[in-house]
Amino acid sequence: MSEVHFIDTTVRDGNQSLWALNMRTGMMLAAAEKMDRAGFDSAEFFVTVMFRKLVREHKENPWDWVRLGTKRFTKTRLRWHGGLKGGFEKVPSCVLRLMMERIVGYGITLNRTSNCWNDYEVFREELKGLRSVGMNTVVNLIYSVSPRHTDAYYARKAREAAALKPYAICFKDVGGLLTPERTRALVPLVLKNAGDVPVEFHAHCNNGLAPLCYLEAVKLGMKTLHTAIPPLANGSSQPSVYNVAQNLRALGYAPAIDESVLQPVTQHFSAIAKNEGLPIGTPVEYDQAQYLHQVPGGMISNLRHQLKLVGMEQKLDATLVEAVQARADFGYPIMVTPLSQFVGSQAAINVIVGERYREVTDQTIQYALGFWGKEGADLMDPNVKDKILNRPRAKEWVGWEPPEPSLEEVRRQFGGHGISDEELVLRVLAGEEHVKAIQSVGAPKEYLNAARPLVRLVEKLTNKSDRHHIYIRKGDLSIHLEKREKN
Amino acid sequence: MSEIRFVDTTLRDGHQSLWAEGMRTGMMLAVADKMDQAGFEAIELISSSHLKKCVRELKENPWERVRLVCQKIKKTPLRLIAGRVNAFEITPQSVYQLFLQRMAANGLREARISDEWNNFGSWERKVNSAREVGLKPIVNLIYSISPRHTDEYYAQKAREAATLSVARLCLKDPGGLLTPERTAALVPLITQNSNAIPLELHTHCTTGLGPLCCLEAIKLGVRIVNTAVPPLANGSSNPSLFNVARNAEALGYTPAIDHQALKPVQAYFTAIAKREGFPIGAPVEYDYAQYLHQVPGGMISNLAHQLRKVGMENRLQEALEEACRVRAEFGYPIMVTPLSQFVGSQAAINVIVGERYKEVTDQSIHYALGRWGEEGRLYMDPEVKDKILGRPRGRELAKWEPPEPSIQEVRRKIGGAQTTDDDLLLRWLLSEEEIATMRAAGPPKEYLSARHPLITLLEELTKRKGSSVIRVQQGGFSVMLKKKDDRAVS
Repeated sequence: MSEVHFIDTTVRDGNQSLWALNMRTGMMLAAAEKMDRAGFDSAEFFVTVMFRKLVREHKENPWDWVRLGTKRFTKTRLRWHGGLKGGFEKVPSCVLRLMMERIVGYGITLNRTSNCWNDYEVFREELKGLRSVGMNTVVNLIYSVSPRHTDAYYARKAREAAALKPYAICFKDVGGLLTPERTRALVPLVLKNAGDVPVEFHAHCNNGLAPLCYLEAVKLGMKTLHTAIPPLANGSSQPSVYNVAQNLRALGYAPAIDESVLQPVTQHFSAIAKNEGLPIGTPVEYDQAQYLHQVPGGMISNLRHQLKLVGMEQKLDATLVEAVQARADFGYPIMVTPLSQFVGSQAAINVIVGERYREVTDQTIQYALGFWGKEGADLMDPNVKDKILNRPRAKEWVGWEPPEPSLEEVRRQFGGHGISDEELVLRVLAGEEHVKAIQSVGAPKEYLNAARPLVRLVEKLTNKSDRHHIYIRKGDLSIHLEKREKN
Repeated sequence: MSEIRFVDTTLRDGHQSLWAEGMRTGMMLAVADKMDQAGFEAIELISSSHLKKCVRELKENPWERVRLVCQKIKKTPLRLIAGRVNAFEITPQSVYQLFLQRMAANGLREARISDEWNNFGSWERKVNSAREVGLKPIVNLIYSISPRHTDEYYAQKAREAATLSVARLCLKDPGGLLTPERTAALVPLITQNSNAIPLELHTHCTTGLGPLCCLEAIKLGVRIVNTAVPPLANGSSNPSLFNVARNAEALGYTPAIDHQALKPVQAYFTAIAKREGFPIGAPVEYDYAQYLHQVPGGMISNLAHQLRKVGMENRLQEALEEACRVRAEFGYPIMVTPLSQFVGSQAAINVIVGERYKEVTDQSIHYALGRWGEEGRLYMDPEVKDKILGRPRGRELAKWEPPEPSIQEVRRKIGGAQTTDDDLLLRWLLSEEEIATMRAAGPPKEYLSARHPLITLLEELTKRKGSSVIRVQQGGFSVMLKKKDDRAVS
């Protein structure tokens, strides 16, 4: 019987897709040992943007997550999500490299990362850098829907990706747009053209189809799937590990996973979701409209917000229609961060101003100049490009290069030689002020397993200050708590 | 651009699938006007199982439900689901005929005709009965999966149905087992073989595929889709009207429905669900195992219950596997009521007794005798049939003839000459005592629209006897009620 392997995404993509990265270190730690026993091939563990989130919003030290978490996952190979390119943030490469070195120091030697154009020429250089610090890389091959993203495109891109000899290729459906039909067409193509490079499949459930696409993919030879543990599965996250494993068994495959040990993890995160008001992932209805504009849900709410600021919230539909046009003008970029934001923002501006490209964002100019990928400049409609670049602001950007300071320069700027590498990475990624604000914070808050109500009860009772004795009895069990005078 | 029309199932299949038929007449009346305004092609109102539920548990008169709803829904044709009068007992033709006649007399206008074997003779009888009493017949082609239910089977059934010259056929998928692929195969096939009689699709979301099958069917020419208004859509119910309409629109079709008119209906039933503790239909995960045993979810819990009673709850998986074997030996009946229950009960007995068909139900015997459809007798595995019929009880039942009394005879036997037709039908299904208890409960309870909490508040306050002035203030809003000489409340 054919084995199927699982990569867990719960604390990374599950957390990112459903909880806006609001999982605290203690929540992850409380589940880690159980997750470690299920037999996952690998588990996504951290994404670079969590540095900022944990420091700024949770007042936690992200290195605690890394240090304490790597101790508890002893069997499962952990994965970093991200690479050496700064994306939006324009973080200097030397800092990301330093970060990677530190991560490898904690024993995490596997990462997964994308180029938003599936541009494997650009990837080649990044991969070299990652290899040199001891990181093995899974490169993404991102799925998209457009006249440009044909079967032939994916066959070619799979060949290009395989030529880099990465650790693996991950066929990734970021918008949850794959259908069973497209899966049937593309998976055999990707597998064939990847040659002997292993291929993984990573899809989102935004449209309810991912659990079906996974089964189609396995029928066509896919051996490794990305899943999440409920309540961090479904919704806009990955399919549920239970659902996929159960369906595969019914189809006669052998999922290489013991999901029964994960039930306490589900209980743990479900209890946390309820206590903290975090969403519980559920299957969603199929939505055909997502194929029309392909604007991610998170961005739609953002656009609505932008339009509201100028009192034009009734123009949302017009903006979505305009986004279709802008995406075509831009040469059909994949609707993935940051490109989808550029398209969406420019579409909103076009609608607000009432004339296409009369006003443009700096990012639109940078895009037209190829700063966000050479393909952007090459594929953009020439007339639109002229209109965008034929303005004084554009002239200022021509020839600009993102600053690439040396590590020495960065260190000088962020506090000098007295600070450690980890501290430096933190300061650059999360902001110096914010990092200082967490200096006094101690160890991350513990999240007891909420499936143990007794522990919670005792915890609550010990918080009571007006009692010296508490005696509870139920059936055969009694608890006696006594407060002693402090010495 | 092509127009897509909708048959609403909220008041019938929606709560049958999700609320165990617990929707009360008053709840229906509270939204009836709005539903009538939405532009539905038809609205499903009732099937025979609701009659029992109404009387026994809700203590409401189902005929009154039909009459009251018909008074409020005048533009949209209301529809009867006309399978059997009594799912588990063999019913005389005269009783079926009276059942249709009374439904028509009380205001229904259409009947969706069903036979669990897709049997032509049965369709013909029922279609004629419906026509005779003035109900417009729609004929179900029930979808099933088995070696017998091939494309050719459905082509043949479509050809047979077409000879009845009904206005419409309905591809009905009670188990939610249709996939987009099977929809794509069957819809064109049925259309080609039925002289293009307009085809409705009625599917369930039991394994999450219903909404996708609707779109696939629409792309292939289906113009009438059965949907429910949330929260009575999804789960094991029909697809959501809003979802199918929105997706059809995104595909370039024109849904002929007024969404806005139905938003209050959704809000109302959501409030009812919360107040009464009824489930809210939500999309479910795809479950491939359902294709293996095809035992409906409601039946699985029943099997589990039967096994638990004899301390064998750990053998459910075995019982499900046995159900697959029994279904094959029974000649692959469609897994719908009552046939699915016959298969399931016999499977449970086989597992509990430990020897297959050593003990059999009377229904297994009747099935083997062809009393639940000639096909049952024809398709059953001959050895199994011999084993079932070659016992004293088998021989005893073989001699019995299903009676076909006239209505006069039925009336003489139950109720007597004074009994109205409507009551006679209730008496056929229920005991005298059950009906008396229902009558004693009085008229159906009124359910105000939950969107008007203020009205509810005022209503409750005016019931108070103890005070003559009541003042309620919240923020900038205040209400004062004053009692004047016991006569009026202002």
